[in-house]
Amino acid sequence: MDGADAVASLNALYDVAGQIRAMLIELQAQVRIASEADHAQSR
Amino acid sequence: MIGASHLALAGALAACVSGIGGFAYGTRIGVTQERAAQKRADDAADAVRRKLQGQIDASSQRAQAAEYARQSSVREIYHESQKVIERPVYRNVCIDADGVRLLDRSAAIANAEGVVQPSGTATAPAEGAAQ
Repeated sequence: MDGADAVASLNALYDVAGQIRAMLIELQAQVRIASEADHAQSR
Repeated sequence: MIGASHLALAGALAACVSGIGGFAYGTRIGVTQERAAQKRADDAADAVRRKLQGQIDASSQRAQAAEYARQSSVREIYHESQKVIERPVYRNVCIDADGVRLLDRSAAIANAEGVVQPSGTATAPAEGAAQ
């Protein structure tokens, strides 16, 4: 293992972290849409 | 001979028939109204559901576009890093062979892969770059 491997590993790690973050944000947005509609319906 | 009692009986019978008819008519009207109310509620709920699904679909499309852009950026970084890591500093300065052996041993222990060869004592810097 050397610096090149470390760079590749960190890039892969950031890639997965970015996927997780993007999916989390999208799911939060969908939950917000659903909860806003639910609140509007209950009013 | 039709007497008063017969007339009274006929009147009572007519009243009963009209009452039963009225009840049946009212029941039918009630059922119709109830069905109409239920249909209105179902239509309203369906409209809300369709609107919500449209918003969620739009959000998913935006997220997919953002994910596509992110993957493009990741590919770009990968290609750039392939050029950058060709520099000698990535093979000589980062860590020497003894350190690499220790790190590999630590990783093996962490992964419960059994005991690997002991690394020994590093008394001098490694002769070459890490392989």
